[in-house]
Amino acid sequence: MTIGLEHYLIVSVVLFCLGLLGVIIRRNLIVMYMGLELMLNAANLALVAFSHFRDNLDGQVMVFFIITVAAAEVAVGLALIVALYRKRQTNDVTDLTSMKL
Amino acid sequence: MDLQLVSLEIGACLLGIMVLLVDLWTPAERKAQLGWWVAGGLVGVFCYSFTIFDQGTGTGATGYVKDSLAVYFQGYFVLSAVLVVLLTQSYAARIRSGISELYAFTCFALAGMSFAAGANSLVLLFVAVELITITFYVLTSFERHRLRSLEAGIKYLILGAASSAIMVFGIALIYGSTGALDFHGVARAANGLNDDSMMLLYQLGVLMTLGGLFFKLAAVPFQLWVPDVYQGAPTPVTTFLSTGSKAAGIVLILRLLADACPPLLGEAWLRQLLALMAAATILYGSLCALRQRNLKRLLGYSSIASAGFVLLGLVTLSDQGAQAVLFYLTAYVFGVVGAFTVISVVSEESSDEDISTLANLHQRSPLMATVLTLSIISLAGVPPLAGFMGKFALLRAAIDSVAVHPVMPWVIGAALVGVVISFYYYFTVIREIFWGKGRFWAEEAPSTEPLLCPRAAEVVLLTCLFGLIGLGLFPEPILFIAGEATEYLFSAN
Amino acid sequence: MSKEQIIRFLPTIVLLLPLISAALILLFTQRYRKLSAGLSTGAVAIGLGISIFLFASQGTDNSEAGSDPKFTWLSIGLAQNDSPLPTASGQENFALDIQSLNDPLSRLMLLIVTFIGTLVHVFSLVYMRKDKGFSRYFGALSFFVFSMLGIVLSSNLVMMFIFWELVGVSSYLLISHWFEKPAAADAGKKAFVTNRIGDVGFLLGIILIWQQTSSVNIAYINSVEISTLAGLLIFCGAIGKSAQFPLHVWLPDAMEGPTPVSALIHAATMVAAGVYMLCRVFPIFTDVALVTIAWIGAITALLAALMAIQQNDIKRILAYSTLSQLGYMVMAVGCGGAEAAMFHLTTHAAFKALLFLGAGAVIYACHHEQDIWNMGGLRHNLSRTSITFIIGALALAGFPLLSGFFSKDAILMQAHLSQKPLFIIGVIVAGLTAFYMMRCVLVAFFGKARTDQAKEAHEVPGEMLLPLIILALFSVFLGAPQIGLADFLNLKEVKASHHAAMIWGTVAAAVGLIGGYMIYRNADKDPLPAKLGAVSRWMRDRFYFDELYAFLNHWTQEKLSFASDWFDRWIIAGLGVKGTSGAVDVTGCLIRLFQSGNLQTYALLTVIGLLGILAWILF
Repeated sequence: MTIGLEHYLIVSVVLFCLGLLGVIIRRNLIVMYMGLELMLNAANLALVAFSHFRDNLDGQVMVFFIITVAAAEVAVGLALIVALYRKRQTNDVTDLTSMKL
Repeated sequence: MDLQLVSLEIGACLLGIMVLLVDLWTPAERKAQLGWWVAGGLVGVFCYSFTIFDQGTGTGATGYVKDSLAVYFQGYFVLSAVLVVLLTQSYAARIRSGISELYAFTCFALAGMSFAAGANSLVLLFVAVELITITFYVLTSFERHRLRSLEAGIKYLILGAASSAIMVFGIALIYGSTGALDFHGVARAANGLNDDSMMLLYQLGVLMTLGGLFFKLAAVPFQLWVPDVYQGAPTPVTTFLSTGSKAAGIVLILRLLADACPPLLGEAWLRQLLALMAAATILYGSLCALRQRNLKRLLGYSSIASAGFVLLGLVTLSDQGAQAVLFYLTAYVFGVVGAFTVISVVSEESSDEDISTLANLHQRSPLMATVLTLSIISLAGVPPLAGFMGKFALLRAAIDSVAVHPVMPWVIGAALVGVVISFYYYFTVIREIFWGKGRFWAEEAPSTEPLLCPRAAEVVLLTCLFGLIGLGLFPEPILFIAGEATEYLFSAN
Repeated sequence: MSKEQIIRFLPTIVLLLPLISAALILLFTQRYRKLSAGLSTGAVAIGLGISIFLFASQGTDNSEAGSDPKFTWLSIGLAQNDSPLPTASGQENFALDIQSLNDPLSRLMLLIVTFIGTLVHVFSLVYMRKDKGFSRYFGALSFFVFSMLGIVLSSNLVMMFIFWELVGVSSYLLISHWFEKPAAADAGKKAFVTNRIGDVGFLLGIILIWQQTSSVNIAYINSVEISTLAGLLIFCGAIGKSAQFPLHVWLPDAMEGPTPVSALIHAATMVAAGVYMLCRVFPIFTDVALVTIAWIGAITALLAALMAIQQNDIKRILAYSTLSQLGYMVMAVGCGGAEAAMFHLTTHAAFKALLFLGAGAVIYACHHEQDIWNMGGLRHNLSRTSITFIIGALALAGFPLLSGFFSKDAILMQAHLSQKPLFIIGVIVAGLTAFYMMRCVLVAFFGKARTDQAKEAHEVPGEMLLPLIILALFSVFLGAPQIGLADFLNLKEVKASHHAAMIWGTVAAAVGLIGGYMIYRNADKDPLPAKLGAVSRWMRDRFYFDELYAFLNHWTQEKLSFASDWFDRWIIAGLGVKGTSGAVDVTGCLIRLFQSGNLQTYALLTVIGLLGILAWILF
């Protein structure tokens, strides 16, 4: 059995869904954030796979951009989560409901 | 390499870095004054970049174009950034530290928006969006000592990052189905797609990418973050979110639809989708705003409703609709900035954002009462102010396309219902200004002490006043420029 | 930019100056009284300068009817061309051009409005000095001048209607300036509401004209045929604004405003707007419409002159005389003499402003005493004021060779040419006018002082005297053929009618003056009630029009209101509005539950929404 594009894509979609589920279900902000990273990496995987099977390097260039941007996002995101933890001693997302309706 | 082509973006970034550097040698009490210089610098940079455009350096390297659409939006972004910087300056007292960083981040966000205005490939689209969004994560939670600001930042962070991830996945699918990342390459390849599964992948990709952009625009069902973030963020940041960030989403949607999706433009479902979203967004925003007492949250809902009106222009998928959208945005900026400026000054004085703080404003500061009243009237769309002209142009474009789009009458009906509902909550604000009695459980009557408006805020207010009346009475010049910017946008296909 | 181009911008500048001053005063300078007054006075004075320049440099030049800048504000319909005609495809289009008009008529009117406006501003500087709403007063005054200039410069009916309404609003602000006084507040309301009745007709007329010609451009509609009904509806607007019978009741009550305001409203601006509008759209009226207009004018002139005879309040006498003179002008329009009407409007502006400002000076000097029977002998203490007032009164009475003589002459000539009954009414009114002015002058200025206030009155300060003297000069000379106003207006003369008009007009004036002198010489109280009995009472009580309207109101409108109130309260408000708004409200509250504040709910809903879209479209 050869491993084709569809195999990569299936893995990628599964990763994406796992990440999304993590964001929706888990209460811990850090874990939610990990879920987000998982979604981005699912996209990366799909891009690299497409790039490989299409014999076109553009997709891999895009992956570099995504990785860089994700790094910046993580830096900002973690800083925010830390700031919240300092203030509230919690990183449970259900505590964050001071504004509603 | 033509660096002059991106002089606006380079200039904005350099200006941001320079502010950070100058900050080191500026005594603390004068740091807020840097705002004047930043505002002036931004205008200068824009004028310089505009002269470049004028000399005829049209399109440049792949992925970035500086056409008239880009220049229109860049002008729009610079205008709102300048107003926001001045508003920030009058807000300085509430920022405990790092006012210069606030200026710098505004400049960086402006650079991202300016890139978005000229983005012509999915790579630049993604980078521009992320540059804007990540900057706004920081800006939103800038008042770290306030829990609400922090909470808003984190909500925006998680939802924004999730929508970015969805968008990136969409980009990956578009790339996979067409093998190209620049818009025209995508369009060419998509026109030649005859494989059904590839077409499905392409459509899925486009929808997911649009989803990420609709998140910026705050269209149903991607609107849920708006009220919380608008309420929690520092007021100048909220202002920039509702003017700059939203418009960046719009220009990208326009470009993506017009340049990268020609095979989809004829599909009935695209129109139905946009129509449904437009109607739902207008009604959602108007209905939720009805009983709102928090001013910033109220404007958040109003911003959702106005996103619906923008969608109304997009549904037409025509040059005329796009022109109306551009004009509407320009008219919108004056109303929103005017309203937020007044709210910022008033809520700073009373450290409360409840609608009752506006009571007696007409005695406390006639200028602020006038501008807020006119802004609200303009947002509600009453002639002869700018907002009326914007809504009029949008509705007119929509009515003109009834013949082509069978769903249009329903959307127009929903829009009119939305307008009627919106009158109710908009005029609640006006009632509060002139006839407000304060909080009903409060012991003492609302204050009638004169309310001092900082100089920078005064400049912003006068600009808005001028814009609101000017655009309402003499819309032709801007309509003309908007028409030039959107000429052949859709009709070229 | 060449000189011509600059000139084309001037009318718009004149229009915008008072608006800018009003905005500045209301927004910024309310606290600084002198600055506010200076801004307002400066704006109208500069406007006067520009108007004089325009008038002098362009004269009767009719070539440049439009002026810059021109904006198309709203264009409805498919094509966006400038043609007011229906397009070839049958699609009517409607383009609203905002443009200032610059033709002889508007230039003359511009001059009148800014001239009287400037003098009234100067006069108010002293008259209102102690008022605590000083800044507000000048802001409103500027706004009023702006609205009035807007009417003058309107190039289309919609623009005119907008400014027409603005005049209504700003006059409301001015009339009820002393809003603490219930009478002033009521008078403001009465003026506003009565004007609305006329305005509804005006608006209907505009819509009808638009429907008939697909245009509201004045120059265009003047060149095509319009139905009688449309013309009469347009005339309704003038009935309201120029206080013609049967909507004349608001004008005397509007005397509750500060006296300079009365001078402005009555002499040159608001009430003249109706006559000006009639002259502006004169070609649209059919013969039937013209006859109606003429008779309405004549009835107003006669009734008002009769009412004026038995009034005791000096401002009310002048108010009824204004009514009567406006009736005269409207009658002239109806007789086909728009030029004569404009001629009389111009001279009337001068001497009526003089009379009102003079009355203001008298009231100021007598510490706000307005009853002429409480004055008397004022010519000793107020020698200069009284001379100017007498000049104004003589001009109004049509004393030979004063300005009023010539313009009244022109109107009588038109009436003589048109219908003899109208001419007879005109002559009678001329006699009555002379009579009541004689009465007013004799009682207030001659004889001996009847109260302490009159005894102790002092001459008014120079700032008040100056406008009076200027206006007195104009009242004397404005009508003279050498000044050339008649030529400017292109007034035609028909020998036979002209002679008849001159002779009969002079005789009527002489009879009136002499009769007044005989009756009121040395009178300490009014002898007329004793002689005329009931008739005099009717005149004093204004022929019971107010009571009639109140009665009609009571039996028709109030019953109707009661019924519609019930319907409104229970059916519309109860079922319709409360039901709808309640449903909307509840929907809003329910939908708002989505905004739970919980981050994960948001994420979940967003994803569900996205999945819903994908599922709907892809499968």
